[in-house]
Amino acid sequence: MSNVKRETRNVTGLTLLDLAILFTGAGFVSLSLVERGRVDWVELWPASVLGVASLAAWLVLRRWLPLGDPLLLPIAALLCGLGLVLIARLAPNFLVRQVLWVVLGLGAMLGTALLPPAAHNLRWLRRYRYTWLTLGLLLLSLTLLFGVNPSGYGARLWLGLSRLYFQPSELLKVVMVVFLASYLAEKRELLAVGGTRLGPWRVPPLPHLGPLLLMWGFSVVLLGWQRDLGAALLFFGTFLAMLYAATGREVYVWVGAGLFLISAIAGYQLFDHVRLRVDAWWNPWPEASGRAFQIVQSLLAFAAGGVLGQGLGQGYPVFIPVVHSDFAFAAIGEELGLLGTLAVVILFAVLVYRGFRAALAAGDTFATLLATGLSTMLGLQALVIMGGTLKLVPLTGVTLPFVSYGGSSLLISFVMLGLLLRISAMSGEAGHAR
Amino acid sequence: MSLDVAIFLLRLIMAAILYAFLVVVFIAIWRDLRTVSRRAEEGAVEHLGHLVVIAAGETPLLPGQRLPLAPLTSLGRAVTNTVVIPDAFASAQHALLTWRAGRWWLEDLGSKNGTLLNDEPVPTNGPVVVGPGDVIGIGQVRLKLEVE
Repeated sequence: MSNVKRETRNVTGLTLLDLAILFTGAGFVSLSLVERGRVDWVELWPASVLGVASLAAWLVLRRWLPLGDPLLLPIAALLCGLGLVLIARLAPNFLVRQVLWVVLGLGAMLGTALLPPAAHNLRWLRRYRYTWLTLGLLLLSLTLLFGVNPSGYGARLWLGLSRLYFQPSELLKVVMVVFLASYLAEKRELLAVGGTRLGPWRVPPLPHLGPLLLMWGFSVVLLGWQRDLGAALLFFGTFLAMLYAATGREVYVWVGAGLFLISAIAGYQLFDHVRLRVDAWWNPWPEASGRAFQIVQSLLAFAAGGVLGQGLGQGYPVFIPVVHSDFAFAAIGEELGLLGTLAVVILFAVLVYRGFRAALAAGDTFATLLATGLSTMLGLQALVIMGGTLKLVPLTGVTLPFVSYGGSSLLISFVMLGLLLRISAMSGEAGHAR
Repeated sequence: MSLDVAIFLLRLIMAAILYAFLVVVFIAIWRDLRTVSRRAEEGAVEHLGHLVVIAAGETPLLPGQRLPLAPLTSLGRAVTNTVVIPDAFASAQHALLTWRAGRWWLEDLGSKNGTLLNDEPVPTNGPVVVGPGDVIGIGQVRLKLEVE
């Protein structure tokens, strides 16, 4: 790659980053104007912190990972900036903590992209797959015993360390994708062409599929036990997507979809909380002020927003319970309107596209599968929660990546971004070496 | 300027910034795809490297001429070779250049007058590694390997 071309890449990245910071700044200025009637410059500090931290991250990446994708960091920064504005608006108590998590997240992103586990074409990640998986599952099992919920009620998914809480199921998301990518990269030939014939179908070789199903089943049981439906759904979707990407056999997808349908029906029959979610999705209106209050308020928020939105600080999205985390998208719909929600959808689409692009260009099966899995997971998570708040699919409690309040989720999203950055740089390096 | 107007203007500015961001993103993607498609048009073999003619001997080859390399490049007098060397001292099937494990390997195919690598005869018992800048000698022709 010529120097000129690399220069334009950098210019693009910097322009985008500047725009993202400017957007955040403008958001805080208008919040301050609406709430106080004047511009309180001190109130702009989260935008400044985000700006300084993301520019520093950009400088580090330019120095040590110049061939990485220039679009990924600015997109994440813009989504984070939007998230900070929303949290300042909706749940100001959490603002300091969220800013702290953003800075930590950027650090984690740089760490994943540049430190030894990811260097050497991700060899460490690949080689020690069982170690990572065991650690992830161990942490998750610990939450079964010592799990807490910082808000005092609801699913106990967090591990507390003094005043800092972390959600191990978020960590397991990355670990699972790494494990699956590493395992499938080794066995894909066997899974793609092997197996015995049974009439018109070819049955995949069970001994090779066994460990995969075992690991996956174990984690899904753990998640089902913890009633973290959103995470279980993400795992399953990503698992199927990676299996399909590795083997190219549609039969896996159909069988998987069938399994999903069966377990969904079983879940509906067995668990009250599943039935509640599905009923509230199918017809929320009979219980609009009761159990379906949240989803109905979310729909009203979108309707109130219209095309242009009510303007930051001028709507009433706080009527929606936990609007700052699961329902951040509804708040965007009310205050920024269709213009804002469309932009968010496009940003996620571009993020997934760049991830798949890095996967295609990586030139290494493990890296390809890893990038596919990570992009699918990010995209699926965004889709599930955006669809959930819009009543397109039953609601499952996952965060909108980079936007919602939630430290663990933010940190892990940034770790995923770091891995994608590293993989995108691999393709650049390979092209460079030739 | 009243407060309401300022707030309204800010809303417009925020929307403009948001969509300016998306426009820049799309321009970047468009540029990226254009480079990819251009690279695909240039062909896949191109990047492996060239043999540059240094000395042409009595052959119609021209000094400075660049001969593109394929992953399996055969050299010799017969017209079936990838690189035809119509030198009186070249055998019909003279030598073979192979791209394997990220390196170029040169093998003498039992030629009558032997193959030279940097003016040393290449052993006949198997392929040897050739690096960029090495000079391959067949008859009176000298070819330098250039890797991109």
